[in-house]
Amino acid sequence: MVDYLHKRKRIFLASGMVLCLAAMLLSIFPGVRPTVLERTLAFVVIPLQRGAQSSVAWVQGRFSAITDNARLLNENADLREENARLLFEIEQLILAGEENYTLTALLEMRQRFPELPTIGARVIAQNPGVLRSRFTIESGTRDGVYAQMPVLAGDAVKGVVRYAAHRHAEVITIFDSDFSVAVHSVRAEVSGIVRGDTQLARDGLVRMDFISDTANIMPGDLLVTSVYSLIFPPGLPVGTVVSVHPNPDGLTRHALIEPAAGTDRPQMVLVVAELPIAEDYQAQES
Amino acid sequence: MLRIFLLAMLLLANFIAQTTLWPELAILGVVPDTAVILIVSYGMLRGEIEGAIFGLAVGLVADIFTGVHVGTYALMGFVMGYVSGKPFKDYFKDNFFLPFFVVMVMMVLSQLLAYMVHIVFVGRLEFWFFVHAVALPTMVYTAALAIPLYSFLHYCNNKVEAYEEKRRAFFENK
Repeated sequence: MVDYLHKRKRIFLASGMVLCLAAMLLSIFPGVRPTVLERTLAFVVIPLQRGAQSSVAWVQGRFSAITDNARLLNENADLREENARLLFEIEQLILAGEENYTLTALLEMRQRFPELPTIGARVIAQNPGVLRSRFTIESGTRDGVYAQMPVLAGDAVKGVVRYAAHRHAEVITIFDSDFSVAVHSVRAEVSGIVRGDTQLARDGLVRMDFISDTANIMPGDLLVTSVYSLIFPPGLPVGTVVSVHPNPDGLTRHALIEPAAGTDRPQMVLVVAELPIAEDYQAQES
Repeated sequence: MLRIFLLAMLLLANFIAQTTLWPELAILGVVPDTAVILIVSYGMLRGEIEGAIFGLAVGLVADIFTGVHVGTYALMGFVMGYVSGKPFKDYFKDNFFLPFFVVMVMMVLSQLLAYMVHIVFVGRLEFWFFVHAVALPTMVYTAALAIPLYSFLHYCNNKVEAYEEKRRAFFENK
């Protein structure tokens, strides 16, 4: 065959070129495509192309980490930087959210006791100790905070100012054994004294004493500050009765109270100012 | 028969590589035209008739799948195979540099032809832009692959010729 064509080179050359030119001219007309040939070739070529493309993609995937090393390093550095920035922003947002929460709570407290003159104070330190029953606020006599002023957290009694310096003050909480407040049961019309107890404080409880043996007090009763309290204004929630126990003398009983202000250290507290006894301290100190 | 089978495999492998592998290895947006290397190499190894037929087949496959106008690449392949086979019938086949230069020359011609085809069928294209953005990088990239591909084809051709010689001798002795 090849030998035959070698003898007729000119014819071969001419026919080849004419064939190609004819194909070119034919293909100018729309709709004229070698569909049978195309389909036959596609039957073989397409699966091979698909396989080759998959192989190339696989190889590229394997080596992309090497070829894109510099780009990946830069991208990694950028992402780390962005991550650090975003973490910082998230931290700021969390802090702002917490501050917003406490300020809202403080505002609600102020709105709940509009007749009470109050001073908002930030808790700046938890005083060391086993029970951690004392903390420091950043308001002092400079801001109108004096010893024996009631301290509220949320809408409940949290403690009392034990000592006030010029720029700060120390607060003893309801769990502290030095703390006591006259209380009154809203439902049972029973009065008593709530005070901190070192052992009960571990369980997040305080003790109510001087309950008459005949008093109709029971678990779930809400206790508020009594009109007999010299420090606290009447009607402030103190806690809820958890259990009632008889005393050895057989004449009185005591109750275990869960403080309404909770056991957590608050971030902001409200100091009730201008109470008679505090004014006495104020006069003494000045 | 073995030769036809091998050429078909070569044609297919080249087409698949040109449509899948080479685009992934593109440099400055250009891909090597290995079809030109194969056509030129085969034409130089086997003469103008076989070169032209192989060129026609390679071009036709490219035309059918990628060409807008069937016959363009086929004509280019046909002419290239014939021209590269005609003057180098009796040259020393182990000389790898001659195919390199012939590939370069054929690349220039094929790029010029591609430019003209573009002008005729697609539209105006600035010549110098085409030269420095397409033609020159493609030529350089293709030329870089000319010697290894020619070597491979030369090796395959030797093997097939040895097989054919043995087969011919077998039938003649019978």
